[in-house]
Amino acid sequence: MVIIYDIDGTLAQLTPAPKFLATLEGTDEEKLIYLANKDLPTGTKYEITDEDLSDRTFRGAWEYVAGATEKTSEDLSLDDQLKYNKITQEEYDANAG
Amino acid sequence: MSTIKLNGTSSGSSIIKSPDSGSTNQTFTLPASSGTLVTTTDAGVAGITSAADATAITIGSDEQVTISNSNSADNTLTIEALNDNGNEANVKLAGDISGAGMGSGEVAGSIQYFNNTDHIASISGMRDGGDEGQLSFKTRDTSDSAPVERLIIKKDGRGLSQFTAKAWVNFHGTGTPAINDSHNISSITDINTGNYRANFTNTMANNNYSYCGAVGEWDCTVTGNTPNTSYAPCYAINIGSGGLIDKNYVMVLVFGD
Repeated sequence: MVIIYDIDGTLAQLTPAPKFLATLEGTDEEKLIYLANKDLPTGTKYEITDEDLSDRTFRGAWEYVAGATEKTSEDLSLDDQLKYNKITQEEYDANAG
Repeated sequence: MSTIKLNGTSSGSSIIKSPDSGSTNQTFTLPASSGTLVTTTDAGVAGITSAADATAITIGSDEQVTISNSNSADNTLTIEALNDNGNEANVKLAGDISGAGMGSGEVAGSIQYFNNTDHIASISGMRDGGDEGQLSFKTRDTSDSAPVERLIIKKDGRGLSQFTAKAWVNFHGTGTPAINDSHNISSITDINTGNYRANFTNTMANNNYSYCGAVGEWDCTVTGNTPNTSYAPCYAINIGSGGLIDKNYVMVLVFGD
C-alpha cells in the first residue's frame, strides 16, 4: 500500500520504508495513517491505496482526484514531534503545559 | 601495647601487635576453614589502605568483585570473570538513575581517561528515555576545556556526529517505487518521472546539510535541489539527454546536523 496525494497538480505517491514501518504498531492502514501524519504537511488530503501504479506511462500527467476514502493529515502528538526532531525541547516544554 | 609472637617452624617469626593507641576492645575472628589469610612477598598487606565503609569492596560467592558507594547502594562498579551465562568477562558500571524525573541524557556510568589530573576523554553510557540507552563519546581539544561530545549512538542505532551519515536510502524508482534498504528514512515520495524525495525519519537540524546521490547505471546520475529539513529532493537524470528518468537503484547519502 502507498499514500497518494497532490503536489502541484500532479499525483505523488509516498512509499513507506520497511524499517520505519517495523517501528510502528497497529494495522498496516494505521501505520500508513501515522506515516501520513508524519511525512505530509498538516492538512494535506490523501488516500491510502493498494492500486497497481506500476505502469508509469504518462507519469507526468497523473492527477490526484479525491476518492471516498480521502483522509486529511494531522499533527503528530507533541511527544512524537519531539521524538522525530520536528520540534525542539523548548517548543515541547512551552506547549506541553 | 602488647604482642603475640609465633615462631616459624625452622626460623623466623610472625608478630601480631595491638594498635599503638585506642581504647576500644576489638575482636578479630579467624576463618573456620584452613588456608592462608594473606599472601605477600614479605611486607604484609602493603599498599592497601581504606577510609571507606567496610562494605566498599566485596567479593561475592559468585566471585564478582564489587565496589559500592555508601551514599547509594545502586551505584556500583562490578568486575566479573564470568557472567550469569558463564561465557563473558564483564566490567559493569551501574548508576542509580532509575528514579522518577530522570530522563534522557542521565549518565549511568563512564570510562574516563585522564592525563594526570586533566580529563581528556570519556565514553559514557546514558539513558535515552525510559530504559533505552545511548553511548556518548567525548574528547578534549584544548588544554583548558572539558571534553566535548563528538559522537553519540542513539537507541535507534543512529550515530550522530559530523562524520557519520545522518541518512541514506537505496530504492527502486521504476514500476512501483520500493525501498530496498535505508537508514533514518521513513519514506520516499515519487512526484514525477525521476523526481523523488527522501523523507527523513528524524528531521535535520537545519538546511545546511550536505547530500549526494547516484543511480545504478553509468549514464545517469542524481542531482539535488534546495535542502529541506524534512526531506532531500533528488532527481534521476540521464546524463546524455539531460532529461529526468525513472531508474532502478537510486541512492542518496546525507551528512549534516
